Amino acid sequence: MTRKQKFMVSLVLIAVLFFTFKLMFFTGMGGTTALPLGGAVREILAPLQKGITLITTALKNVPVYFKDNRFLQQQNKEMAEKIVRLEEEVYALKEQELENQRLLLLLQYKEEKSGNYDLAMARVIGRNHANWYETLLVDQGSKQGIWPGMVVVNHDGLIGRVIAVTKNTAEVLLILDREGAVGARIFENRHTPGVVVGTSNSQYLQMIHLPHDLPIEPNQTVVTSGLSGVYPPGIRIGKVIEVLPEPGGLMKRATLKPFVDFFRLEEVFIIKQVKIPEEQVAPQEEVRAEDTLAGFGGEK
Amino acid sequence: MPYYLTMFLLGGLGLVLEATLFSQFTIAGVKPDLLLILIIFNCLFQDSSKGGFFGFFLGLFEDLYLGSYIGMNALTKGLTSFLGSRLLQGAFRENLLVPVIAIFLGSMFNGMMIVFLGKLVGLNWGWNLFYWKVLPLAIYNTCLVPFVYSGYYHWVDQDPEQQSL
Repeated sequence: MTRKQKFMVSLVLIAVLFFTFKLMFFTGMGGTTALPLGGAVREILAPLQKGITLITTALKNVPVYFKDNRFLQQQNKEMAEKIVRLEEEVYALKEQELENQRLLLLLQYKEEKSGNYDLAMARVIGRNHANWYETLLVDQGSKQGIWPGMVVVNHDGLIGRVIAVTKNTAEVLLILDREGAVGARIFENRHTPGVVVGTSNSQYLQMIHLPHDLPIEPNQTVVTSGLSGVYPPGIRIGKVIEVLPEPGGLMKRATLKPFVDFFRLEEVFIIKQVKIPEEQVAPQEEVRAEDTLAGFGGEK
Repeated sequence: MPYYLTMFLLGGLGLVLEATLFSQFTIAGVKPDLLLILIIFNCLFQDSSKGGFFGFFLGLFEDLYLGSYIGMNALTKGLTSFLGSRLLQGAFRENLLVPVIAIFLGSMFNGMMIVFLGKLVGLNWGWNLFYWKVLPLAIYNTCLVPFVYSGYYHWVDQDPEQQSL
């Protein structure tokens, strides 16, 4: 490089540096004097910057995850405890709802039967103290005017009878028990007598000693006959599901499904006094059933 | 790919990384000046004129990207690079201590120049920026050297033609 060339290069360099120096003063912060070239640089780098920012943000969340882990564990524990508490509340509310439904049905039953019976409500506090008997223990006893022999029912039908009392409890022998025989008849065929007893399968009852020529069919309703002197007549017991001949062929028997769900009993009514047996206030349909009976030749 | 084109692309990447990744990793309120590190690394392999030009144009590139006080980084990085190239001529660049010291001193000088020019253009900057910005930035830049110098050295060293640019 000649001396002249060196001089020219130095001159250009000084000019560039001077221009740059002056440019610095005219392109302050927030000014609108930024060169178009600057905008172009930003535009070119923007997609790359956007991509890296996305990755950076994602990576930034990794330590946050670990940092928050302990807090989340603690929160999780608290939430789990809260869920348990809330579930308990939900169960309690559901329980109350079911109880309300049951009590409503019982109340309706009590109002409906107020002309027939003097009823006392009792809560079931235990059942089957011994394996051999089908019994219930309720929270009403002699103090409340409950005595052995009183009949126990609910809105679904017959449950059993009181066999023993203490001051504040009563033991109820269920009709499921083989010792709890009930005089019964077919509701649709009121002059068909029979005896309902428990079976070895405690879910079902059976109606025995039925004459072989009696017109008894599945889906007929069985109610108490009142002939035993223990149970008032007309209380629902169950529905016929099957009719079978007894060994010997002279009699037949029917298998019944009880109306009462004995495994979910919580409240029951004890009939303290029978005012008017249900039979005497039977609906008109019952009369028609009686008329029909004549056609079958049922015995009285 | 031509050496300086690669260096400019690396400079662009450095700018983006400063604005994105290293915004999440600020220490004492500063993030590293990756372009300055690149410029000073370049000083170890180039003479003063090439070093000065490269520093100037990469600084200008940064100014254009930032969009304000265009020329400030061009002048400071150009001057830092020019002086760095002169002082580092013949330095034993295989030794990691050389780039470490060069980066620290170069960052300090560059930072002081920035503060000086900032005051010159009327920014309300005080000299205490030396403690709050210049020194932490120099330390941060220096800390990164062991992680990046080896890669840069091997890249340049494997192609002797790049050193002659």
